[in-house]
Amino acid sequence: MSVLLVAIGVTRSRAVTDTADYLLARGVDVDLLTVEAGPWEAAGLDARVTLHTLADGEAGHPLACLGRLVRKLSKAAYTKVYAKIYRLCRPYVMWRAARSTVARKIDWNNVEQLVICDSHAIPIGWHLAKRHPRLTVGFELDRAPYADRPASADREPAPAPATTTAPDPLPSTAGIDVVDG
Amino acid sequence: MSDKADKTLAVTTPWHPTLQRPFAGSFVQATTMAVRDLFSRIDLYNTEDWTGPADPVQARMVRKGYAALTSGPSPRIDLTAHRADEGYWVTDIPTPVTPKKHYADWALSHESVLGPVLKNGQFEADVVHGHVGIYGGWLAHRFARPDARIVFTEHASFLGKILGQPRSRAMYAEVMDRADAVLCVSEKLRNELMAAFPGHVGKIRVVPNAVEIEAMPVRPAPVGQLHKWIYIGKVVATKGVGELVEAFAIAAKDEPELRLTILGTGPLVEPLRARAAELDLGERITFHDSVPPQRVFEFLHAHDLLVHPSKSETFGMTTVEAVGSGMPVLVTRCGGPEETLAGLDGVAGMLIDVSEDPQVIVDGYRRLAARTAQLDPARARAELIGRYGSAAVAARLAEVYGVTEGPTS
Repeated sequence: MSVLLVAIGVTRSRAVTDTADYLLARGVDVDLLTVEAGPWEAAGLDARVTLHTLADGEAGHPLACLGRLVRKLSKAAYTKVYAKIYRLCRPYVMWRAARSTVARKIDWNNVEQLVICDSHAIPIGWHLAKRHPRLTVGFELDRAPYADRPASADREPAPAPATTTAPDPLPSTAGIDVVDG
Repeated sequence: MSDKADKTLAVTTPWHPTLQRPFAGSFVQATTMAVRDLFSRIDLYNTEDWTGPADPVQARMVRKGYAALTSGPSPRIDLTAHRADEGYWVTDIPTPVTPKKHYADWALSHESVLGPVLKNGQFEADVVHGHVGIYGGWLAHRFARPDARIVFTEHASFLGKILGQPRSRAMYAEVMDRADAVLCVSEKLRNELMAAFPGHVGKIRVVPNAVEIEAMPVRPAPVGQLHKWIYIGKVVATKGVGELVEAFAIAAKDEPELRLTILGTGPLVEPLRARAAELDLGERITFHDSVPPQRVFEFLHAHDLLVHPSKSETFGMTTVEAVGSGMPVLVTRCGGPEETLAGLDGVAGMLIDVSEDPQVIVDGYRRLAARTAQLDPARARAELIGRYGSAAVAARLAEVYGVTEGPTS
């Protein structure tokens, strides 16, 4: 069995790495659908997580190829026209890339849960959920199916913190940027 | 006052510990725990910001996907409550928000995701407590029953930014109109709100969030000499950390046994590390990344003096934690701390003026060092428990909520 995590960026990397650690410690395979592998190594993602990156798929899409051609001909046209149009099309391109990688490489019969881990991943997660109507989908892992499994100690995440506050800065967010108790 | 047995409470907050932000909103958690015996049921709704794409088309796709996944007769993602170890029910609601928007837009994003989660589209609770006017107060205002009592606590250090945005300020005014009681965690915030909404002065009062000081471990032995300084918090200019390093350099010239630990992360870590090396203090100033809450007291106990030279604080939690652990503090009069330590100057430590001049910190340290023996950390801790401890805050909130205290019948 396995769990597929979808996280386009690393804005919620702590949740992703902790979830992966929890599952791996219980012998559950973890797949991560993301854009690039590099930032996840920096974020401390366990090397046993199978990464499915979209960067190559995106680069090979005809629209991206067209972009490289436009750039070669005129940097101004690329910046002022192409980039603005491509930005609107990018979610579609990413979904196409996801469909061509994940749909082919993942054994969907083995996937128990699909976890949408960040805001950018919601459109792709939605498309995947539509394609697999019987799959359990969530914004966080449903731990109940794994709660009774013995956990190996190697990568078990730390327990939840005590109730006292820590002077640890929050990751920056779009909304509330500063918090004070 | 009503009997609590038949009363329910809904709490709405943008901060509560989650997997991604395990330290966020621990003050909301502590305050909610403090009042759990006042109600037959407490439901906490945590609308957590999930920063999404800035591009409007992409943002629309995120919203569309979110709605498709979470709403309809049989949603694929069911955002349901789970019972937390703290004894109340929690519904975590990821809230996609768009960067570079106003607080008003973000509040409306929170409203759009919370509404579909609520049974009958409203809070069923008798009392609704929002944390910070925008967003919690706004959500309480939008979704409370017409006859429900609405209370919100303001503890945002960015209140000035909210009130500076016309649309956000107008929303805040609506919340003020509807709220039955407005609680501020400090006199400073209360004054700010009273100046902005003079028509509602009567409902604005100071009631802090609960802090579980009773549970804080007291240092095994009292402090004798103030040789090991520590700063805990964000390493940013507004916290006065640059002045602290300069002040330490002055004091350290005459006292070779002095050491300083800076515990936290922020953009000034590397510049200050370079400055420490330039001052030839690289061996005496230690930088350490943030630690989980349970390890904070380990650091407090291993040092002699908390120096907190911030320019502005609405409350000053770090100072309270240090005093709660029996540690002397040297802290600026930057808003919250002179209130939290009211009457405890010379008992818990020493208050100094906010200043760009590092000499102010040095002078404060020397005065404090000369009278360390006169400090009374046990009394200081007891005073803080009386002001901010769970039982004290629960008693004040019971009055605000209009419910009686006591064990469930």
